[in-house]
Amino acid sequence: MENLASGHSEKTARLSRQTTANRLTTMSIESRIDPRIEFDWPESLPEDVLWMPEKLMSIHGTAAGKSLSEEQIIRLSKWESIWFYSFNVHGERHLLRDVLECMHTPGYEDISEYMHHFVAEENLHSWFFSTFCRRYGGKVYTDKRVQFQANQQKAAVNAFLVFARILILEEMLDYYNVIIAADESIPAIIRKLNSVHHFEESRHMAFGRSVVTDLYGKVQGRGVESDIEYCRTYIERYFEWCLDALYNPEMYRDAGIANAYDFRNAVMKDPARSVHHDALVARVKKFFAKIGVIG
Amino acid sequence: MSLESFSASVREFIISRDPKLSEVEIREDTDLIDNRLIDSLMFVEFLLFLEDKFDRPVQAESGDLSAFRSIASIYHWLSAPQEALNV
Repeated sequence: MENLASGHSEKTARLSRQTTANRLTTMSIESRIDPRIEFDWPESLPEDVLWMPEKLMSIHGTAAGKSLSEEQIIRLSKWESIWFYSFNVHGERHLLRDVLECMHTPGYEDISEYMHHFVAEENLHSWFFSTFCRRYGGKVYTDKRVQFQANQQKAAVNAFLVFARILILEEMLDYYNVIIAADESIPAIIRKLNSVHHFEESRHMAFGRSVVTDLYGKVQGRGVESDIEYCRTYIERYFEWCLDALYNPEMYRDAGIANAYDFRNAVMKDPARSVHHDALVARVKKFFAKIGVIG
Repeated sequence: MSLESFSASVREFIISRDPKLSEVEIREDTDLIDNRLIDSLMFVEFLLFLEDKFDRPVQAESGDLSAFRSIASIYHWLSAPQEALNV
């Protein structure tokens, strides 16, 4: 675990995030992509092939999944895709709101320049994912989450949690992007979405790691044990929240699976899923352990 | 579904998510949010649970939590005819 408690370490983390943001600003300008021009959207997608690699589907390895026919699995892969990209859209909607809240406010002067590039890129990700959902699924699934706190936390804790939530989602979604982009059995437009997203998210994750390290250093530096404990518990529970979110009952309902909520709960709690869950969060958990947030 | 049986199933849901809460008294008028029995990280699961119980879509419109404050308020809201949700 790195000790970021001293003022010297806080200054180092601040300098590091500024250097990272400056480097990423240059990269964003030099390697910009405009998906509004770049993407060639087909009229329709074949309904008789998988839209998501089977090993990434929520039913993979589960007893409930084995009860489905090949036709049902293919149909479900379409709706899992629509949910997965809808989930991306909503994740980006929340992060755009949170980053815009911080931009050009005290404490964020050093990284606001890069935030403009970050916001522009995330806005286009949200555009191409929502276009995909509406064009091939006829809808963007609704988002049920509501953020509220019964007990207001300190500003430093909230600032850390905002960027920690962004980073965790980006890292988890990137796990899917890399596998889908490389799978040649998946329709080309889906691979392209994932490949472009991965390309730009690698910069966003580098940004996220440097900001999260700096902001957690501030929480640690104040030395308030209850704040540190709150962050630890919240982050551990947020991992669980993200994993649960992969199993939207509506996608099973749309795929024509009976008793969708019960099916979803059976799949989600199947012991076989823990292997996938562990792999999905391994890299980002390692990062949070390295900076001392979790054990 | 009666208020009593709904109340029992909500208690079961809450305790299944956090067994430490089995010692806490949860009445039909207990504020679930102020008492941290339901927090933002449990909220989506809670909505899915309610959708299954009442067999209808449930959403906190514009983040308005007023209907979700207590077991009684949730029950009366979701037991009402569906048209009433749009009022």
